Amino acid sequence: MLSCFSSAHKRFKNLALEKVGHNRNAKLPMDKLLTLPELRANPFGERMCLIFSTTKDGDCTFEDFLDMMSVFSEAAPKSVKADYAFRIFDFDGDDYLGRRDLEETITRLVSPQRFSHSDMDALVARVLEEADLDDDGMLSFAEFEHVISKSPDFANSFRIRL
Amino acid sequence: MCELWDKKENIEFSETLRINVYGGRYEEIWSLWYHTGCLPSVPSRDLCPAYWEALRELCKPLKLKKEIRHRLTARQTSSQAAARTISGWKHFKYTMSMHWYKMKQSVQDAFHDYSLWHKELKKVEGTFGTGVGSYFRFLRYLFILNFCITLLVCGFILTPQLLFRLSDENENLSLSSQNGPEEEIAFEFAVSDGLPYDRSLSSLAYAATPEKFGPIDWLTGSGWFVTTELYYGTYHNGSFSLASGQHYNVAEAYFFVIFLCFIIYLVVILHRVIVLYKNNYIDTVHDMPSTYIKKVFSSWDFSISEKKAAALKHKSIYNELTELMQEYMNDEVNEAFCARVMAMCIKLVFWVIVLGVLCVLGWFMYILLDNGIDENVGETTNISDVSLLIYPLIVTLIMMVVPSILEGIVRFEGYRSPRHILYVNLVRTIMLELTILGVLIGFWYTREQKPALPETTDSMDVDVDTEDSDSTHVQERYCWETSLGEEVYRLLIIDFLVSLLLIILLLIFSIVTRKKSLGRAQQFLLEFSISRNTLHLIYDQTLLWVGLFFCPLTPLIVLLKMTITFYIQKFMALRFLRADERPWRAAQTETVFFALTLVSLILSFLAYGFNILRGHSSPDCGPFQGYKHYVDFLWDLTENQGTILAVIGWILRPGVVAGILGILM
Repeated sequence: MLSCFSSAHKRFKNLALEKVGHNRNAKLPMDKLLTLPELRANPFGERMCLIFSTTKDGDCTFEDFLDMMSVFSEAAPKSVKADYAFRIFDFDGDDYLGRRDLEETITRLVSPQRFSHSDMDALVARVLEEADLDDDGMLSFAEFEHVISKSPDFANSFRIRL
Repeated sequence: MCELWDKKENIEFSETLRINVYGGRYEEIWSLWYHTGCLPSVPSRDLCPAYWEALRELCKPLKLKKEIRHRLTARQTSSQAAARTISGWKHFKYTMSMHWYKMKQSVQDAFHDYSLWHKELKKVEGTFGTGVGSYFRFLRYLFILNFCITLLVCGFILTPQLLFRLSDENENLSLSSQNGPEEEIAFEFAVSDGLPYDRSLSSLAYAATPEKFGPIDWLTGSGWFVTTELYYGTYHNGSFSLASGQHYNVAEAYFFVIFLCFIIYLVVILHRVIVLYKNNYIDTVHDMPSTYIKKVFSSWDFSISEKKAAALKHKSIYNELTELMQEYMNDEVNEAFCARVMAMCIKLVFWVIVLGVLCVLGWFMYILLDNGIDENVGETTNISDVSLLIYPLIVTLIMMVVPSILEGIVRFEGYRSPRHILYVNLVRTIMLELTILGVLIGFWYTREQKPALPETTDSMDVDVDTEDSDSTHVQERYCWETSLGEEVYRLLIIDFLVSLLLIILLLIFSIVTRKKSLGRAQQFLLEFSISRNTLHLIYDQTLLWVGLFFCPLTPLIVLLKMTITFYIQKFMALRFLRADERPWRAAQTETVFFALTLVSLILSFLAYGFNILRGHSSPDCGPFQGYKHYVDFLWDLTENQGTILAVIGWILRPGVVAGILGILM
């Protein structure tokens, strides 16, 4: 654990040496964070920075960064991962995964490629069919967690090794 | 600092704590905090490990968790005077349990950290994703396991044997310089008698004709290697003493250490399979199918860190989702009954063909082995010859070519999902491997069981002639275990060399075609096929298990092989190869690979057990000379020492077995 901590700190420090060296609570801007290898190729990188930043504007201190890494680590319980996954995919922040959120997620997943309108509608309809238990056209956290924690691939893919 | 809390968070926190920590007192405690903002004194006995678990599972920012922990421990230390004092015994008990918990955590951390090859693995995973990463992790896991076993074997079997040889050689050198030729004849008598006394001379006599180290010996494992500790034949069959009063019985050590190695392998791999199965095969059959949700939300691999790999992953997800939607639309069309029956017949036909081919291959191997041995019957089997390499070369070629052919065939069989294709492939390749190895062991085992050979008859009758004829003397020194060990060694080495050769060819090929566009065949070659590589790894490991009894240094050889393979494959993968575009369900396939390894291990262990119980030991080589069956050695031992029987009897009691299994899970 100690080695993970020190390597995390080293990586964070290297992003902006002048700033972090002096100030333990220095905040780094989002575009600097997105140059980290863990985040640079990730279509959800911005969302991750936004969620974990305490000031909700995408700028993270070292503690926020550590928070992020701890949620994505191997030891984090599935419930924690599901919770944060829900927050990441909830683009409009209304505590529900509605049609717009699902469409945005799918678009980001296939990014240079695109689905036609009809295909996208069909996909969203399939997803809602599978998970929406109360038929309100949106996924609440309980429904999301119920389905996602059953998937063994979720824990494997929602993981960053530092 | 209460502004860190807002109502919603506080309620959630108390909920979590109430559920997760024992003692209903917490309801009161936390509702008190919520209302007054003050923390009542928390007795030290309640700050138990489950408490920290609850804290960890709370989905709140780190800052908040630190604040909570700080408050609790601060209150705890400051309120110690005010708290009720606990008795000395309870205090001791809880301190011990805290220490134990912390120690367990730190051991788990250190053990799971695996700083071996951490950076390299991270690089590969970042470029290729978790699929290829899981192959390299499998390799590392087997490496570490083999490393521990090598240490065990080298420490308890190899080193004493080497020490014995050194000390014995010094003694005998000084002895033989004094004695004339009569001693030499008596020397030989002692060897050919095969009687229990004077054991120290017999194994030395076996090694007494030192073969010169020929250039081809590295490949064939014969010649000079036969006289070294590489094989079963050179091990001493009694005890010796280095220091006064201390005896080390090499034969006992050999028997028990090899048995222990198998048990360790079984326990570790079984444990891993059970853990993986528990984690990955959570029952989804009873619930509604959730393929779309899983595809959308768990398909992005967060460990990817290279733009190229990310682009590939995006494409692959797009393909998967398109495929899924196609299938959904096709599913609505009901297949006619006739079409389904036809499909099943086709699959059946293919299976029968494959099984037939396997039988033919097995029979062909048997013929090859038979012919190979008959050639050598007139001469000593210690001479290394290029003809010895024919069998390993053919086996290696079969193991390289046939799986690719099987992979190609399976696409025509009409399996619907790529996962079924993968599983069918894996099963067939494992069957191929087991056929070949089974034929090898079976051949040697049945051969030396034949009554025509002089070893199994009463050795006294043949002794009279030994001083006269050299050839029968040599036949009696024929050691079937060493020969089998040699075959395993040759298989390992030739397989390694052929794969190196193939990699070099691939390197040249990829350098040549770098600028040009790739056709389908080239794409096939330049793909990092996870299943092929993992099956190769399982094949190597099975060779290790098969050869462990006959050639105790197989773990060391496989260890070296794995190290070199790791670095070469990593280099090739990062520079030249591309990942498979098809989807890869890493979690479940990892379980399947470990399960296949377990199956191979169990079969090897059964073969080993069968050999121990029924196999005939060679009369004048190895640690079990003089015993007809290997298991007679064990009975001999237990007669002398009743304690061993008692220990074994105790271990096999159902209560103990159940306890061990419970701990494992």
